[in-house]
Amino acid sequence: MRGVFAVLSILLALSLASAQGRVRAVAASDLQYALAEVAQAFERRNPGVRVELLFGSSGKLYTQLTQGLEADLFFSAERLYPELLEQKGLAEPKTRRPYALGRMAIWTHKDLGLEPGPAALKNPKVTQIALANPVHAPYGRAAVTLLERLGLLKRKDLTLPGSSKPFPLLSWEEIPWERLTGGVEAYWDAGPLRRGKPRFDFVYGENISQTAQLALTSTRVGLLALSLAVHESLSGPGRYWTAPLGSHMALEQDYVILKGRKRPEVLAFHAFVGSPEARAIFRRYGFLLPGE
Amino acid sequence: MEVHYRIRRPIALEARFHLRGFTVLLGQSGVGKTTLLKALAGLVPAQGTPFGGLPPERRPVGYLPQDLALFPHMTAWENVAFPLRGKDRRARALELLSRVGLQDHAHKRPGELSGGQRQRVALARALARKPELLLLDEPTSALDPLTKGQVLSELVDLLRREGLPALAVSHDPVLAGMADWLVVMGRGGILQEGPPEAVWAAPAKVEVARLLGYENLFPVRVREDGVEAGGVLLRLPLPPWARPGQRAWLGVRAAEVLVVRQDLPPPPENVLEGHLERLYPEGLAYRGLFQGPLALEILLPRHVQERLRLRPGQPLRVVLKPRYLHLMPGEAEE
Amino acid sequence: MDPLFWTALRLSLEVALWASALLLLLGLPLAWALAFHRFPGKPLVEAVFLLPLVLPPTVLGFYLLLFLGPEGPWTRLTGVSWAFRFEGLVFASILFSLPFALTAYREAFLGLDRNLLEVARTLGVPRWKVWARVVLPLVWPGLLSGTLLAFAHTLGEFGVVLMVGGSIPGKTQMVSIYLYDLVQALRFREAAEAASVLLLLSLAILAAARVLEAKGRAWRSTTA
Repeated sequence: MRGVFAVLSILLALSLASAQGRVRAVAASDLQYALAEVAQAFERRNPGVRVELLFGSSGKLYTQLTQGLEADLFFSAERLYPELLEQKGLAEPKTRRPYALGRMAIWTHKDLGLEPGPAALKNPKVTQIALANPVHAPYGRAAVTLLERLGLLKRKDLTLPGSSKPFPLLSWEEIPWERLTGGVEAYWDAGPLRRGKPRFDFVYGENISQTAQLALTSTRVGLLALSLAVHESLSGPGRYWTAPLGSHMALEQDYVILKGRKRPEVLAFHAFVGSPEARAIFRRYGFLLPGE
Repeated sequence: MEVHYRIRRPIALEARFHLRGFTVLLGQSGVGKTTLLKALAGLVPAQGTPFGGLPPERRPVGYLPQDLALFPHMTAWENVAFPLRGKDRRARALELLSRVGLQDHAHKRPGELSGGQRQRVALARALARKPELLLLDEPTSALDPLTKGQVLSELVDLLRREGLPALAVSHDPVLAGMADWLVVMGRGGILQEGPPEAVWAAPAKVEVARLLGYENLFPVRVREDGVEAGGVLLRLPLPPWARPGQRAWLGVRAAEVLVVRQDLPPPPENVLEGHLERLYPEGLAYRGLFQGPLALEILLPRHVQERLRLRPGQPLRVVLKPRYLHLMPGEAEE
Repeated sequence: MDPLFWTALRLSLEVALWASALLLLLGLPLAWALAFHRFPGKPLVEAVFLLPLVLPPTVLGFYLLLFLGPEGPWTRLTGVSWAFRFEGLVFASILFSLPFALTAYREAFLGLDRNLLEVARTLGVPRWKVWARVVLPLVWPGLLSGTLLAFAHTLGEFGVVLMVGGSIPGKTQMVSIYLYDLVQALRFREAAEAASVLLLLSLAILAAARVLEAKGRAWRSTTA
C-alpha cells in the first residue's frame, strides 16, 4: 500500500514537472508545417520543454480563446484577431509581434497538365477553384484581392448596405469582408474566369488547410498559402505559381502571448520565433519575414 | 373429414385424426397445436390432406389466431368487410355482424369491444370468405374467466347453427366438454380421439388423463381382483388387457374421492385411513390434500364441507369407489 | 434577417426533402428485409448500415468527396462529378441519415403484429391489398417519424456537408455551414438569430416525430 502511494506521488511529481515544461500554442492552419518545424527546433534547443500545437482557422481560434480555450500563445494569420484580444485585455501587453507575411500561390494538379499561373485559371479545364472563405479566412481575402489584381475578378457596381461609398471605390482594407456572405460572385464579376466554360464555381474551404485538401482531392486548382503549396504533400502531386509581392491584400501575421501566461518557457518560445533560426524555417516555407 | 398432416418445422409432428362438427384438440402447450393449426391454414410448410399444397390465400379455411388479430385501425364492420369485394360489401358485412349478434357494435373499433365481442367479430370476418373449415386457436384465452362458459357455449351454438365444421385447439378441459368430437394430442402426434364422454371416462394414456384434469395419477401393480398401490389393495373391475403382476397407471378425479364420516361404519372396500394435510377454498368448493397410504387430492362441494366441517390436521377416512377408478396401461416412466 | 440566410435555409430544406424522399423509397424495402428476412451475414449488413452513425462526419465527408470527386469511382462510372453539387449533397445526406431512417423503419415493421399479416393472407386477399389496407395504415406513423428524423438530421448536419459541399452560396452552402461562417466572421448576433430559426424548425419537426411515434404505439397496444 505504501509502495503504491510512493509510486503515485512520483508520478504526480513527474506530471507536474512536465506541465511546467509545456508550451501550448494555437495557430492558423497555414502554419501547419512551418510552425511544427519551428517547435521541433525549439525543443531541440530546450530539452525538457514540449510544445503542443493546435491548428484551426484564426477566427475560430479567436472565438474559442475568448471563451476560455487553454493556450499560451496565439499565432494568427492576420493582425486583426491578436489586436482584438489585446483590446479585450486577454493578451499580455506588448507581446504582439509580426512573425511573418503570408504569400499566395496558385496551385494546380499535375493531372491537368497546365502551367500554373493566372492564365491557367482561364483554361476550360478549370471549372472549380478552391479558396478559403473570404468571409472569415484571411487567405480567402488575399485570394480574392489577388484575382482582382490579376484582372480575373471585377467589382460589381453596387453599394453594400450600411456603407456610404460605392463598393468599387472601397480599398481592400475598407471592404466589410465579414458581410460578404453571398459568395464572391455576388459582389465580383468573374467573367474572365467563366468565359468558354460549361460551368464554373468557386469552392470555399473552411480554413486554408481544408482548402488545400479540397484542391488536392477534388477541384485540382486552388488559391493557397504559399507556405502550404511548397510542402511536399502539395508540391509533389501539383505545381504552383507564387503571387508577386503586393499583388494581394497584405497578410501581416501576428502572434501574441495570452494573459497570465508569461512563464519562462513561454517567453523563451516567444523569443525563439523571432530568432534567425526560426526565421530561416519560415523563409523556407515561403513566408516573407518582417523587416525584409 | 379426416385430417392427416406431417410437419417438420418448427416442430416435428405427424397428426392423423377425424373432424366431426365442433372438434376440440386438447394438448399441453408446446406440443405443436398452434403449429398444426397454422399448417392447416397454409401458414406453416407441411404435407397432408386436406388442402395440401395450396397457398393460404386459396385455402377455404377461416383462421382465428389466439389474439384474434383484428385490424386495430378498422371498425368492426370494416374488419368483416376486409375479405369482401363489390359494392354491397358493407351491407354484407353488416349482415354477417347481425348473424353473430353484433349489429349494434358495427362502428366500434376492436379496442372498444369485449373479449367475447372481439371473438365474434373475428368469426364474422372468417365467415365472410365462406370457409369450409374454421380453425380456432385457444378460443378461451381471450375471454374473461367469469363469462367464459357462457360466451363459449354461445360460440359453439353459433357454429352449429352455421353448420360449419370447426377445429379448436386448447389446453382448457372446459372447452373439451362442449365438443362433438375430442382429440388429444401429445408430443409428436395424436394420443386419443373419440366422443368427449368416452375419452373423458376412459383416457387411454396417463398423459390424456392428466390433460383431462385427473388430479390423482399414480403408478400401480395389477393384482388378481384389483391393483396394489402404496401397500394397499384397491378393488376394481380389471379391463381385458390387464394381467396380474403388470405395471399400470391408476387415475381418480379429486371430486370423486369420497370423504366418509368417522362415526358411521366404514364401507366394505377401498377405504383409506389418514389425515387431512391441507384445505383451502376454491371458488365455492374446497380443495384439500389427504395424506395416508396414498397422497390424494380431494375436492369437496360446499354442502359437504358445511356438513363435515373439516379442519387441516384432523384424521380423515376416504373411499375410492371402484367405478370411479380408471386403470391405464403404461410403465411408471416419470 | 440576411436574405442569404433564407437562401441557405431553402437549400437545406430542398436537400433534406430530396434526401428523405429517396430514403423512404430506398429504406423501406431494406428495412423490411432486415426486419423479416433471415439471410447469411445479416448482422454484418446491419452493422454496415449503422456505420455512418459512429464515423466522424468529416471522415465520412472526406471519403465521400474522394468517391464523388473528378477522380472518384462515381465519376468514372457515371461521367459526372457530384462533388460540390446539389446532387452530391443529397447523396451524402442519404448516406448519413440512413441509420436514423432505417432504424425507425425497422422498428415500425417489427412493431407490426405478424398475426395480422398471416390472418390477412388466410382471408384470401391479394398482397397489394394487405399492404394498402393493413401494413401501411399501421406503420405509416413510424415511417413518417423516421423520415422526419432523417429530414431534421439532414438539416443540422455539418461535418459531411462541409466536406462535400464546398460552401458555395446559393448552390451548396447549407444553413449549418452558413451559420458556421457567420460565427467565424464574428457576427454573433445574426448567427444567434439564424440559429434560433433553425432551432424552432428542428424542434417542431422532432415534436411532430414524437407525436407520430406515440400514435404508432397506440395502434400497437390495441393489437396486443
